[in-house]
Amino acid sequence: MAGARRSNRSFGDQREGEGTAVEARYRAIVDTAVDAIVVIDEQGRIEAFNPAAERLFGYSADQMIGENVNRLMPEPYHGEHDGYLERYRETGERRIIGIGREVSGRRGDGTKFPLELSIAEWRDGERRFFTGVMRDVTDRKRAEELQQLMINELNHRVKNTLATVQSVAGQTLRNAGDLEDARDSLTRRLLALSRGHDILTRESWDGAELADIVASVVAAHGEAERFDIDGPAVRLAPKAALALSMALHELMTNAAKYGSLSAPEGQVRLTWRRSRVEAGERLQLRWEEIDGPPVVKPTRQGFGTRLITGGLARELGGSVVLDHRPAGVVCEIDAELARTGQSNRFIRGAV
Amino acid sequence: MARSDPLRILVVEDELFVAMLVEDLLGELGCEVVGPAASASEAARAAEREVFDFALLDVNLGDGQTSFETAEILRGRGVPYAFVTGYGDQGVRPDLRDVPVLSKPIDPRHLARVIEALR
Repeated sequence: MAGARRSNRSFGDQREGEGTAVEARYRAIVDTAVDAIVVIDEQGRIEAFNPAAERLFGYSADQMIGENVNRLMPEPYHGEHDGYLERYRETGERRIIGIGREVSGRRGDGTKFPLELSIAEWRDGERRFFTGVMRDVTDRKRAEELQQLMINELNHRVKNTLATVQSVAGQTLRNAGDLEDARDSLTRRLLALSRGHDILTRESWDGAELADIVASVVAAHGEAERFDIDGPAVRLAPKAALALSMALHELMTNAAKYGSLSAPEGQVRLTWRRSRVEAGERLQLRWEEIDGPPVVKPTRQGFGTRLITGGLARELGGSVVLDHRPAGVVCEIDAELARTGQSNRFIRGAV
Repeated sequence: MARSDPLRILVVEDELFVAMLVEDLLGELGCEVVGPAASASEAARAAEREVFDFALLDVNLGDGQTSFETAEILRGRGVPYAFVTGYGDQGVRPDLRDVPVLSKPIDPRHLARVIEALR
């Protein structure tokens, strides 16, 4: 910046002769630069302050020319900057010059903000100047923080999902008749888990409609004509949705193996309703198998039964009755809607 | 301290399948499960009122809730506990890192060592 000189307003005075074109060229760059550009002398006095600097700091060039640059800095830099300059004059030790780093800036209204700063040093005869180029990195920092939060949340979910697979695999293997049976059951359960996630992902993990969950489980099974489905709109929280999705999968698998869906004429009636009670609203859901073979009560509790009568009931904050009636399996769920309807707070979920 | 009667263990875990897993693993180790408690308030209530020898606390209980308050109650009562978390040590509040921290998925051998140390 050979042509840039001390100015009472901005970058350089108009000069006669050959310097003028160079001056005009630099001035065009400096005045239109998106980044704030500030020139100081060896004592830290501001020599030049471009329009982007005016916008960034909320001071006019007229206000700032001749002022100590430390006015643009919050503590501790505000108090220490004169000392930095002095040390640099004495030792030549560089902290920022030619390196660039992230510092804090202070606006005219007193607010503090993160700032990326690079500094160039130059001489004009005996005098030494420093040109600082600055950029507000508030948005970038915010994006970085959000990204970190998302990564933490993702990590949490991946680990929980792996633990879920550990759980499902362990229970499946323990209850399986043989290896082929285990492989088949485990695969189906993982696919069911995946479908449950799909429904939630479609709505950014904000919850799911009960009818969508039912439709997904029925579609995975096929034979839609064998289902009689009826119920009003009900919004479920993510965890309740996932638990119900898995529970319906287990009922479906059982019906296809041993229950009504194992017989040519068998049907499933799946209905639900909302009812208002004193404590709030409740959801009553009923799974009923019709025209199947006579039901034999299972002798031991498998994964499905445990999930439905234990886990699901707890997840829904209600009661679940699984009745192996001779005429067909009936499963009745009675849950608090206030609880099942909690919304998921994706970001707040991260610690 | 050798003892033969089953240890009673409070389980705090909001993820349904993970809670089932912890129940299974503790069952295999001959322990009795208290709970599982699935929310911070349920966990705190159990920590104050229930009788048990040890607690396994999932750190993140969803909706921004954690089990740290429950840990403070247990510390006050002098009941030992361990954390379970997908975040590793970093997921545990610094002043509470003086107890075992189990990762997810759960290594049954690690859990067995933690339980064995109680007997």
